[in-house]
Amino acid sequence: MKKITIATDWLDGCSGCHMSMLDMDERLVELIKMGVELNATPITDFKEPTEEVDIGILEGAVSTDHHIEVVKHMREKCKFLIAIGDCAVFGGIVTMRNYFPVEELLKRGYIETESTVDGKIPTSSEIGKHTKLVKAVNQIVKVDFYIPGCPPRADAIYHVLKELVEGRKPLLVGDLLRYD
Amino acid sequence: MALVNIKINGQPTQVEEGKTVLEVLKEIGIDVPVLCYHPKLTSIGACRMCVVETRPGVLQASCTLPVSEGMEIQTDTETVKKARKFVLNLIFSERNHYCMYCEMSSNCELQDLGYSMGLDHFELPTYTTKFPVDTSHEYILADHNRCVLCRRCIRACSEIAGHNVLGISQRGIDSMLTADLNVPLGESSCVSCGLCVQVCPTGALTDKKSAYLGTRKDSELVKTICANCSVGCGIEVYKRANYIVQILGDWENPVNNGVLCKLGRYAPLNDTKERITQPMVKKNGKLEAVTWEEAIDKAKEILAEKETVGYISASLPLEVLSKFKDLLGDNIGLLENVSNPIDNLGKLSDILSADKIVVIGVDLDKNFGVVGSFVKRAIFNDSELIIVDDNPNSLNKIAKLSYQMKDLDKAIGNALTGNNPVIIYSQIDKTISDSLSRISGKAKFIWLAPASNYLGAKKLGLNGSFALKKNAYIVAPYIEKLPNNLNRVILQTSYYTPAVEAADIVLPSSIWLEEEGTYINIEGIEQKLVKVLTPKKGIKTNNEILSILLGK
Repeated sequence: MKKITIATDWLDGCSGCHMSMLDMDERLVELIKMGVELNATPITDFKEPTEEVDIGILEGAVSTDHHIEVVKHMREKCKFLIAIGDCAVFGGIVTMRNYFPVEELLKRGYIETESTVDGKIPTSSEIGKHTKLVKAVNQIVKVDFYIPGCPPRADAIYHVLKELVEGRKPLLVGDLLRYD
Repeated sequence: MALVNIKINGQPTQVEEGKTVLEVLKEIGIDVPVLCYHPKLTSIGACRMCVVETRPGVLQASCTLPVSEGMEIQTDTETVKKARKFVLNLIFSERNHYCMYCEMSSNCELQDLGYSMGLDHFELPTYTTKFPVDTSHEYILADHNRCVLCRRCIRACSEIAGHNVLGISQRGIDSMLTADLNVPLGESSCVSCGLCVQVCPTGALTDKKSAYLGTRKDSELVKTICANCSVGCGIEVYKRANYIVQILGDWENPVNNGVLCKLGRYAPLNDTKERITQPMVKKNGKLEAVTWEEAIDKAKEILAEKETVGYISASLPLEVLSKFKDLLGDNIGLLENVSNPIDNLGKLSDILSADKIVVIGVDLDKNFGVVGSFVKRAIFNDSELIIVDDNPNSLNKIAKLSYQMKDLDKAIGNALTGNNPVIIYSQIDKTISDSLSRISGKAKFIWLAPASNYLGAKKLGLNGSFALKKNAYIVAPYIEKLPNNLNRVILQTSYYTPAVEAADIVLPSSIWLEEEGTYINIEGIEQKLVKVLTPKKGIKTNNEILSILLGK
């Protein structure tokens, strides 16, 4: 049986798409039995792909310089890159902040929120710096397949992975292609 | 009709001259994506979604392209498919079309196009400009971020509703949907007919209430009529469980052809008046909640005295009016009692072919708004409007002439110089009735009767002549005040009002949305009212209550 390795990571997102992946339930086992091997994923808890993988999956929009690195790293490590969920595919709800300057965004988030007392904007160099505009993954690197949806249905993710594992080109139609 | 020879995807065929390519393609079942096109509006070819290839590499919008002899149309070539998808990508990139936080998601034609054309990502960077969200209107939310500039709303507002409120300001990428001379919608001359919302393909124009009550796709559709007034417009009610999600005008109804007024579209959704939900009987001067059996027994006691007169509202269906008559004989009267001396009823469509229109004593922007739409459309086609009103009238600004009521005969004299005069009136006093009687037969008359089934009530022979008795049985969904000099009153009504406090027996009854039956509108057209909602426990329909009292 041919082994097919998958790594996933997330950017500026809510992890809802990864929840949808887990929502495949027993079909995850089915995929594993078909030869899928999970490298970096929420299940294995590796933070990033440790080796070359066949399929890379990215959730979330590109919002900081750190995200740009993650995206580029994943592109280098995988043969086939899937953008999953509206944020990775279109920019999604995160692009709401494109209407405001970054300074205003941070001030609102860390200082002005109603529940915040003596808030301050974090400055640690460990944290990624916000880019001026939020972008979709395909504005940074080449993306091979898109699964939109907020979140994408587990059925859609399963369909795409199964088609790829069985050596076919996936196609999303009907209820599998959704933007909400 | 002359025929022309054309080829569609290589297949020769004959089609009627004068039709557009889109019409022909739709007729033979070829699916063409459209966005700015709407079957009830003039096509303008704004969005280019419906392009077809007429020669290799030549793309033309099929919605505005008339068929012509020898035309060869390709609907499915790579060039066509690529162009349509590119147009779709352009539209998605122009403003904020992120579905995941739009209330119209799954009620959106732009989204449907994305799905059907397999748009799984954006090929162009998305827009970053924030457009205004206009919340100033009482019922309509205008989110310009969702606007695709298809101009359907503008065409609906001018061509069908006749109000001419909406337009476009600026040009090109700066184009903006604008009300009047760029004022907030809520401060504009908008009369809240809501037709713009009905035709909007995206989430740009939405009903403030409906948008958050659920989607039309998840709702049940009931086609019925509006019983708020005597025009009797066709409505499409979308409901979930036992509440209304949205009301749209029924395009297929011959009375209103899709147009509604503020009352028809928004009143039922925004009805906050307190309902009566249990029968009550006055004991020691105070109304007390009782069982239906007790209330009916007490009502029967009063009815058995043979000293009871009946008053009923002509806003109820024929079936209810008829049962009321069965119960009380001829000793019944209408609460809305006026008599109309003119027999020949005009049709609303007569307004459209009139060259002179006289409107007497009614402001059609405030009442009978759909009739106002007909009048405004006629004026757009060069009919002359003559207003006769002692009060300020919203239509004065588009009237050719405005008269005071004392000059009614002058106004009518002017109208009779036309070939097809139409006279529209609501209240009737002696002056009006004398003036109109004199010209009987020389003009079409449209009488805006005071209750939704007034003509039905008249047909059943109900009128105002009855002998006064000491008790009364009054049936009206809404009544503010009881008639004077009554001993005991049975009141069958829907809402709490001072009249309820004054009654001796209160029977909680359904409103029109919970009732079914037959109505006759101002044109004499008989229409069916279909039950939309189930009344709350404790409330019975007017029909049920009368059946119980009749022992049937």
